[in-house]
Amino acid sequence: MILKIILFWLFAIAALAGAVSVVIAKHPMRAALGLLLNFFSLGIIYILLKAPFLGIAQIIVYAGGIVVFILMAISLLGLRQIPGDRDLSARGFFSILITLAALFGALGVLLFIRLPANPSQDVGAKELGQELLGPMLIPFEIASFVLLVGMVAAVALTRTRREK
Amino acid sequence: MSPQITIGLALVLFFIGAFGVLFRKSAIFTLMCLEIMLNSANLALIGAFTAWGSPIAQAAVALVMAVAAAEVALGLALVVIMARHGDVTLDAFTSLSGHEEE
Repeated sequence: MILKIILFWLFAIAALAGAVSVVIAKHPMRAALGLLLNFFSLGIIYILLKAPFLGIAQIIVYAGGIVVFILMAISLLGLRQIPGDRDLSARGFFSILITLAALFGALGVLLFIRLPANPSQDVGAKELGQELLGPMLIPFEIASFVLLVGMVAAVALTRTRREK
Repeated sequence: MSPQITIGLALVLFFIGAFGVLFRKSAIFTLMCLEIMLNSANLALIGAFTAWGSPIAQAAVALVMAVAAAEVALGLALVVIMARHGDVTLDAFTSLSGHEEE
């Protein structure tokens, strides 16, 4: 139990560090690697919070798929640091202000509500599949349709027309 | 782990991502910060799962993952289009209106 708590805090700090490094990084490649750290730590946290299937899926889909996708895009397009990105001008100041105000508001709300602590069982692939193909069948099918539309739209958007 | 701590962590991550979306100019950074925000929503759902113990929260996380995959595919397609036009900042992304500037 104590090991679980230590691991939770370790990976929570890693996730926060990854997220902060995405926001403040100069070069997109560093930001993508910070994103990888964030996704991987969140996957471990899911496993610690009794969602082992989702933890593995998080590491496969996000850390293995989406980050590789972003890295490919960065290196394919040769994206570099943009001058004037991340300047602490009026926009940076106001975004810090708005974000901190919203964050403390939300944390304050969280302090005043009582959440039950349910000692629940691990939800593995079997329970998750029964849930997805039972009561959540229609959202599941709609999600597959959204994926298909997204894929076709990405291909159609990036298609180059051949000049005759 | 108490659900309060999990949801608190999700909140902090969400607002780090929101700050990035507001702060950065480059489209690829905005996309990455959006991914952080989506992930923190997932973490909040897992926190709700530890509070109420219903597997429907985990099913919702699986659906959010599918939507995030579609979102990043479309977002990166838009970044590719912007890079072809030579500028990947969001401020320059106005050419969907049909007429070029100048």
